[in-house]
Amino acid sequence: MSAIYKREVKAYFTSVLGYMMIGVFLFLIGLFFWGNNLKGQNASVGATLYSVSSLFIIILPMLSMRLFAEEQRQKTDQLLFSAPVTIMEVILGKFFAVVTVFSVPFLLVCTMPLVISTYASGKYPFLTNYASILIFWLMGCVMLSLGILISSMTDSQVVAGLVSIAVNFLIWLMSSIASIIPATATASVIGISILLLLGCIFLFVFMKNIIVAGAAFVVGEAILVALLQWKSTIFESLFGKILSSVSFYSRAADFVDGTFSVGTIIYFVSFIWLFLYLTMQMIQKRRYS
Amino acid sequence: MIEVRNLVKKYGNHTAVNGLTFTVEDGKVYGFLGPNGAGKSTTMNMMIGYLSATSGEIIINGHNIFEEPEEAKKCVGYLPEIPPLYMDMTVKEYLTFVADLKKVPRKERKKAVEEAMAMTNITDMANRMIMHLSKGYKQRVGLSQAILGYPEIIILDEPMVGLDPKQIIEMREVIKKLSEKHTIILSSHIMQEIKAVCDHILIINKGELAAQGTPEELAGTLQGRQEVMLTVKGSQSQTDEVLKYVKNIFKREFKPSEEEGTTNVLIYAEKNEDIRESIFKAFAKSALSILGMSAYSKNLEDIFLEITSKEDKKLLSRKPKNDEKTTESEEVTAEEAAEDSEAVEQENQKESEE
Repeated sequence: MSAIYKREVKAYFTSVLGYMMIGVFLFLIGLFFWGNNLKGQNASVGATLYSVSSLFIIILPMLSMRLFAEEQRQKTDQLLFSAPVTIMEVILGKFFAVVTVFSVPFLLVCTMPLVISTYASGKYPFLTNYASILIFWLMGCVMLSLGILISSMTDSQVVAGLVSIAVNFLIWLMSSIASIIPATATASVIGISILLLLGCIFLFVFMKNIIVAGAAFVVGEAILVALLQWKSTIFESLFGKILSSVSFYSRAADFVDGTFSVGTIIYFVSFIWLFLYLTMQMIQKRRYS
Repeated sequence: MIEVRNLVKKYGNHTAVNGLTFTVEDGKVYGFLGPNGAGKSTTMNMMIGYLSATSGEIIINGHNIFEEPEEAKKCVGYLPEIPPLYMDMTVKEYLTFVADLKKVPRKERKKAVEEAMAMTNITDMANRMIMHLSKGYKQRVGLSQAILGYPEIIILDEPMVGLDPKQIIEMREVIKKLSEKHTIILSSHIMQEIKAVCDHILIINKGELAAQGTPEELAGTLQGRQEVMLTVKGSQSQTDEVLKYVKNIFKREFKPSEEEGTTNVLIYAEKNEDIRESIFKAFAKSALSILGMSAYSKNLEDIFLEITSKEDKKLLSRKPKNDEKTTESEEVTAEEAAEDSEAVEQENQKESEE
């Protein structure tokens, strides 16, 4: 794992990519820090990060897109997977490398509360600010792990990048989408059906088996309809709830407001684990087909 | 030692490898020979654990590649068809990375990298970026990656592709040098390469093991017929009359003769017994003089073509085991016969050149 980690970190800094991403990040954070915290006299670094975090949508895919796609295109994955390392070690090596690059600007962000505290009258809320920094860093890690998963699905880093941006954008919009969906049971059933269809399409792409995917969709729909007949009240505003459950941004925003929640940290870590696990499955699947 | 048992790989409905079984013994050079798309690369990729198998097993030095991949992979160095190089690294950086990846102990890493570079003659290129190297050098960097840390078994997929003649000779020398201490498996679709370096040949066609053995064995056992070139003092019809009554001959081809009053004939016979003796006796009885007689043995190229081109029933059918097809071959047309004689002439030329 350490071999891959070292190589990847080095690769970010032999090309212009690592420097550029860190530079762009720092410039934007600096800009918002100046505008929001220094000039705008806002004590909350979390609020600054919240504004900057919408840029994660574009910046993070740039870092994660090449990780597996490029290996697959150059066929260098044959080296990695014929070496005496496990697939998970390869994935973790790459994940920690990209997280390392992403963490560089965050180290600088960690000095911001110190800077602000020198201007503060009274007790400065260090805990809330550092908790906010932690949660935005974790959210970035989730998006990077998602980017790794998408990168493992294709051998074109451009495709990986664009798909990651699109998915990140959807996640960003999730709470807004959730709020405009009608709370009626029918709307929920339709929404869940669409999710089910997407899930089955994914299943089909994954397994290349139309019968299994089709059967899963039919069974799922049957259960939905049966439940709707039996007790339609459980569907009321259900879809909105499902959507907002994957809204990373609203959870991070809670931290900015000062509500520290261990649940959210576990929630983000679980997503990281899930995406990395799916990446492993994706690579295993490539070996089998 | 590698044992491959009933290896099957299916891609949907397409069967790339179909029930391969073979054993690779220590200290020999093995050659996978087969036309493009025969399943050579797929087999190799399964042997190093990059691909999984639909069924069957591969055991490397007692470790099943699918069950204990890490242990099994430690014994193997692999050069894929496209060398797995990171273009943004220098040769030395890359090889150090590979040494780390292969878990070569830290202290020995530097030495291992230097030895691998020396072995493949790339020490001069140590600090060059890989993307700036020529194809031949890239191939050598790929090879040095495979031999790094001296794995017991080295698997090379088409190691000579894209190299110029001088580089091919160098590559052969490297392989020969390696074969002193390592078991080597290499693949190719070119006969000469395999013949030049391998002790044991596995001919693979359409995912199946079509034949295997040493080059000599293959030339012997697979030759389903014997061919004898005969020069007789006498006319064509006289010669034909005598040959008609010799058993086991299934085809006679008359060739233009340079000498007046002589007849050249190429005789194809079953491989049961040496046909030359019966021919001699027959002509002795008939009082026609034999001026010359020479047996022609096929080379590996012919055997390879024979085994791998299934459409070419004409050649396959000469295998003595298959009686049905043997009768078919008696009706060989004049055109085909001409082709055959051409091949023989080319062959003779080749031999005389050598």
